[in-house]
Amino acid sequence: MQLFGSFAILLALVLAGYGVLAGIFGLARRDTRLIASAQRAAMAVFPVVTVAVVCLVGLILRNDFTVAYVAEHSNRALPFYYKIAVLWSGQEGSLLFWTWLLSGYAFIALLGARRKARGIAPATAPGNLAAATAGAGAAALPVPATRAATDEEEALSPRLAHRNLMPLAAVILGAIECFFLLLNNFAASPFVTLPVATPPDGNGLNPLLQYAQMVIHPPMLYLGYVGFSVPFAFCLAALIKRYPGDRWIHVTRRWTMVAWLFLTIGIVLGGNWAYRVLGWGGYWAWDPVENAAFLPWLTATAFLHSVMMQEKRGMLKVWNVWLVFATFLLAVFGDFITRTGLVASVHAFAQSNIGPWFVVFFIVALLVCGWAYFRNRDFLKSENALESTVSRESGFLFNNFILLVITFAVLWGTVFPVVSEWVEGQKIDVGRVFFDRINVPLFLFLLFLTGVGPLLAWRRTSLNSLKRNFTAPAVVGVLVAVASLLGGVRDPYPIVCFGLAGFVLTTIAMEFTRGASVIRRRGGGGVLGGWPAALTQLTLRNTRRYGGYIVHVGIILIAIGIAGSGLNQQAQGAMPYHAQMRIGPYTLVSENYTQNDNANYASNSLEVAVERGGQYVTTMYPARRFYKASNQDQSMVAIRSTPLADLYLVYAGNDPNSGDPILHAYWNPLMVWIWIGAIVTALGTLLAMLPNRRPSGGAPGGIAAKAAAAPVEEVHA
Amino acid sequence: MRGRRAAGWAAGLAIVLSAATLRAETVAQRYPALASKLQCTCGCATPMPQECETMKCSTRKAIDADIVWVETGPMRNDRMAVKLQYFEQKYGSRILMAPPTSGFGMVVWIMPWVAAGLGLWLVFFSIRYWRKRALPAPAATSTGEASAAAAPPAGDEAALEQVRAEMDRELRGF
Repeated sequence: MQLFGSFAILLALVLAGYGVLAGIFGLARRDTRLIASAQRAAMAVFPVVTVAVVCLVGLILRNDFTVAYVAEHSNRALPFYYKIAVLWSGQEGSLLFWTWLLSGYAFIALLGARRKARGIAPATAPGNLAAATAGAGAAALPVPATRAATDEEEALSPRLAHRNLMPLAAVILGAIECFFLLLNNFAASPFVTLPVATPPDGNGLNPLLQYAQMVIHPPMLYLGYVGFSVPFAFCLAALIKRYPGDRWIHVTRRWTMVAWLFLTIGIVLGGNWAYRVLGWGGYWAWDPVENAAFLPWLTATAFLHSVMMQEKRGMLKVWNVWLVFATFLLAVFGDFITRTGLVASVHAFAQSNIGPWFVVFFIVALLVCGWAYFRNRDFLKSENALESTVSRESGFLFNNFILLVITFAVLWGTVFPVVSEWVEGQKIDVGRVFFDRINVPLFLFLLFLTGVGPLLAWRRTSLNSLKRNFTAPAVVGVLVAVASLLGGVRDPYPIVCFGLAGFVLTTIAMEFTRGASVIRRRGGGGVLGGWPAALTQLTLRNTRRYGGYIVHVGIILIAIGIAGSGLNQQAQGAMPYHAQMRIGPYTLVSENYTQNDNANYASNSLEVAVERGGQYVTTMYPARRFYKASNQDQSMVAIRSTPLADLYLVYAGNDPNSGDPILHAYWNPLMVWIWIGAIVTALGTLLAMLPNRRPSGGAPGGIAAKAAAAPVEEVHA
Repeated sequence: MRGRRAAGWAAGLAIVLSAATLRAETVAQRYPALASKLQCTCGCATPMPQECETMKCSTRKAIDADIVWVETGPMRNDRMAVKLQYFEQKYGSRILMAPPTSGFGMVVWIMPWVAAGLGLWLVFFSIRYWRKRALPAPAATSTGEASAAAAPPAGDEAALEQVRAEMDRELRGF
């Protein structure tokens, strides 16, 4: 099985390499058969890498400790589901997992291009630019063509853009696959056997990774990281081909949204894991590995906003292209710092020798991006100009400005230890104080823009419109800020954050009610004719716009949860039998102390009765486990979540003198809203990816139809 | 006479006790002030006043003991910067919660704001450049975006009303 796996990754490299070379030659010679062959080879990479993954999982499940990776990261007593997680818990396995996801994305994109090609064949008229530049490759796929596309269709159809860009995008994706397959084969193979005698048992999985979140978190994060390769490939392909029209940006945007969704879920699951597992009462420490995931998320978020400028107004084309490039390059950079030990992190993989490989790949990717841009920069000229400083366009500019400053600050803080070591010979580390001080005010301004932006009209916003749209939200914002001040909040940042949350949520509520009221007035609320039906209709008619608002609601809920951490309390003490501790509104009473032992770990557990105002509330069981295989101990945090606050208990060890268990208690207000906000954000993103539902009746091309599908203020303002 | 002596002893005792209490309070107050500027160096980067639960942590106890020594020993009256320098020299810069605001450490604090300033200048420059280029209400963009083309000329209230009326008429057909 180990040899079979090794052969599979070698075969995958050959296939990917052939796909790249055949694709380049095919495109250069306009040889449709060669291009079709290249695409088939590119599609075949996925099943072949899948075989390699199945082999590695099989070796892990069979406890084959002759393989170094299995011996290093697994053990016999490990439960089945954690053995699956072993696949991505180490350097070599996670690189194979990365390659597998990348080939899976490429497979889906190629499959999509074949499906999309089934309606319209590319035009072959001499004047058709798309046919001249891209159609040759697209025509290569053996699909039933029904009619020729017109020039206009070529320029306007995202389906055709996807299909026509696919041959070159497949070459780019294939080149990225080649890099990772080279690593899998020659730098970090997971199928290397141990040079010494087979050990009776493995070292086991890191205890920190033996949690449900850790089974889901890395795949989600990787799906995000890897997913940015697809929009990068399409964007680069469109730039090199000088693809006509702006529909290629739709393809790029859709794939970016998919990757963004996965990365968002991955980041939040990581935070949730840190909160529930690491036992320090927090969820985000500005660790370099956390930052590595956050950086591409920031630039992708900036792109998902600024892309609207290009779609609606034909502006910011250069900016958007570089945001897509930057997102991909930052994802590669994140992978680089996580895997090479460039910066110290508790989350990073062990130091390895794959650093130079990443450096070369990063430089090559940057050079290709630069070459494609300088060669085709005239293709990216703006078609329109900004007409007013108070407009949606300006809102997006400021939104991007803030997001990019945050990106720079996070990147700068992350690499500064390395920079300072180069310059001064002495490493200067940057802790969370730096990141908080720089980023918190910037994020608050971003929250403000989240409320302001959607209410500004394209082109120009009149003073009357500003007054009409902003009076109520501003009043609500001020009232919420005053209420939080009166409610005992003293830290200025949470007060401002709560006020802005009130402001933004009111603007979003106004947008929904305004649109739904129009539908209700016209009897468009369905059989029931009520608000829920009208709101549903409104949302489904323009999923992107209203899905986007729901994403904003999610972000605001997350911001509320983060602001709540300004009100945290904590207490620590020895808890012998019947000892008491006060934290927040609760009294904690030590009821019992138990010990347990099984094949995987031994544990000590404390039984804590929670009382509030003399009334029993619940019993919690914070524990501490000692994992036998890895010889490490780990806290098992007990958490009681309510919408108002979390009670968070950590078994911190035993008093060295008395032997009494030590309890560390945290009272974390509003914490649960971070996780609820993340779920709302994910649902909003999924909604935004759905196609719009056309309203029944009405003139299809009429203003009403456009109004339902287009931002309200375009006709209101 | 005896009463005076007793009073003197009592006063002396009170002074000693007060001084001891004051000293205890000072150490108790000083500890969090210094500890809050330091973090655990085991890799968890947890602030010193909090517990480090990430893994077996051998460094925290040593740092804790050092904080107490600094606040009770010969360095107790030194400036905070000097105390922090002591910890930096002993444990490396990773122990500091925030990078220093002097020397090369200053650069880390300045650069984000320099970038923000440049970015802001770029935004305003772009806005000014585009406004200069702005044409009076283009008829329709080549992006083919119907919604943008359907938007009324900026500030034209009459056109706005016309659009609203037309929209209302069409919505009646739904």
